Amino acid sequence: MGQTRPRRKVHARRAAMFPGPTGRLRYDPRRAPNGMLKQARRAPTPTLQAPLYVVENPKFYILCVLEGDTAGDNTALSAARALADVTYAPAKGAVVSVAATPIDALDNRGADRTLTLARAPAGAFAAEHMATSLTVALHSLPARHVVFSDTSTMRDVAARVAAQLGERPAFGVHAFDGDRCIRSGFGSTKDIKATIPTVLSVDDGAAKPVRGQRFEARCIAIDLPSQNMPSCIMDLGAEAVPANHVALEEAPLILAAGAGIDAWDAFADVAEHLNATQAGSRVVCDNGSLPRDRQVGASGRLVTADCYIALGISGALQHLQGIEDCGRVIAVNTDPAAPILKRADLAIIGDANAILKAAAHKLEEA
Amino acid sequence: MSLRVVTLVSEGFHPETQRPRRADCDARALDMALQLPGARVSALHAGDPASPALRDYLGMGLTDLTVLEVARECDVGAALIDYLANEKPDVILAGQQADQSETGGFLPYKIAQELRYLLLPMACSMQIDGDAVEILQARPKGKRRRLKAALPAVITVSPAAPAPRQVAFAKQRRGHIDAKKVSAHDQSAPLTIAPAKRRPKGARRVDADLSPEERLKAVAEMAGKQGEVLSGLSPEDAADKLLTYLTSNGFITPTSPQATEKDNH
Repeated sequence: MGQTRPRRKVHARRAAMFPGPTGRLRYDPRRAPNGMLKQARRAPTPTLQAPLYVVENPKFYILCVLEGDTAGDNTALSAARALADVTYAPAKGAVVSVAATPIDALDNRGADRTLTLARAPAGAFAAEHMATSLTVALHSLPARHVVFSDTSTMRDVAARVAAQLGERPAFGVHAFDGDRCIRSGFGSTKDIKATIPTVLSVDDGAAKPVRGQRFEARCIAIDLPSQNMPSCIMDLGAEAVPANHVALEEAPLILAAGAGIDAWDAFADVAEHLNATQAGSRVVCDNGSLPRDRQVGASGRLVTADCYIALGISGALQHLQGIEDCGRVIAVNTDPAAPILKRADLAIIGDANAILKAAAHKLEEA
Repeated sequence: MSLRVVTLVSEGFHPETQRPRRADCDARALDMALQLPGARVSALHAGDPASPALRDYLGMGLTDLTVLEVARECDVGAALIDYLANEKPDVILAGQQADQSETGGFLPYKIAQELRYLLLPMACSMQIDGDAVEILQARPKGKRRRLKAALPAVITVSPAAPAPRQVAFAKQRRGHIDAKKVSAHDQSAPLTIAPAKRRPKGARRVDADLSPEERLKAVAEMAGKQGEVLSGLSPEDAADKLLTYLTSNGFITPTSPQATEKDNH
């Protein structure tokens, strides 16, 4: 009888694992043996206040135009920060956040200075007004770059500013490389590298998010002749369009039917009451119950709705590909093993037809 | 005097096969122009007159198409501006972005600035009302907004505009391409163009410089919480749960479902 190897302590080892840079669990034998995660849970590190970064006399300014929605704004701020801190180092520049309305918590998102432009007067087109006041602001605050996030609204403002300055902009910049920037063009088939222009809009991932530092976010004021700026485009306000006249790709709320649906009247009623866009799986469109341009999936439309309600859809792989970019998914199905239930944020096991009729009844009453 | 409309058209490419065809947004713009009552519509392209894609626009019902002959490495913007400054149309229509755009839709803005026209962006429908134009602007998430401006104006057409009419083969053959020689301007900006690299989709990475606790938190957030599964409910209760979920997450408003159209401007 030889000597036996001591039994590996599987549970202790698993407890000592921690998520690595890609999110996978890793084990580092050099770390504390009795479990990092447990230790972390027992004694949370005291939250220290992040150090304050102060720029007293900036050598240059980077303007960062904010829309007021957090995700796009953070992209623009982190890119502006990268330009100020990395591209022109060791010269110290300041990031000036510019917006039409005051925005909160700019100090830990990377703004050294903040500038609030006057709101567009009622009935004027906001993008045109903002572009004109930005161009005026650039006369008294000469900035090296004006950074926008790459949303359709901001691209419109950016293009107007660039046209007024007589410069070529770069839209959809996704990386910086020294004093040059990389953007995709020619229908996303090519990467174009060029000198960083004055006006640019940045895509997600162009720069790392700002973290672990606080910034001054000091308010600055510039005299803007805001009152007598001629705005020539009139904004007559939002217009409601029936949800079913909107293409599936841009619909925010989709009510989708699968092979399990035959209560089409209730389906149409519910869609109308919820102001949801109607859609269907391949089977439904093949049957002719819904037109072909309402098909969701790999061979139909790829949708990006905030909420997708799948009724009587089992969730074939091709269908799940179509709803990959949806925010929330609600699934109603009789089969508790249907693949769509794994993707769903709310899954209801039951007959979708009966539920549709009940919902139509409830919505009618309300 | 009838309304003079010039549509700027470009060479399009099929996104999968890269075959030349009409550009999607430009075709929508031309269709929109052809539907304007009493308008004199012409189409303008700057580039190679022999491009097979241009015949598709003729197939939509035009008798002729003007092409400014500009070499590939030259600036099409300057050539178009020179031509349009002479022509002075009332409306210039263009697709929001060409299929093979290098600048990402900047050209209409440059033209509008140089000619001192107003620019109405992302139209999905338009009406001419005397000497003013009204458009329905397509905004993200299926929202729409109405804009109005005095003529002359440049209007860019969004991909949300109605699908363009089909191309008729006989008209495509019969149409005439009118090539005009123009003095060329060299493009000044030095660009390095390389095939696009694949980029990782979305921000699904956890930063390496975080502490283990922070990483754990980030990973937990990334994975998302397990979805709720409800079974054995009566249809009424299930419908109730469904509507409550929609209301509590703000996808619909409880009082009037139509109010989801509310706008932040």
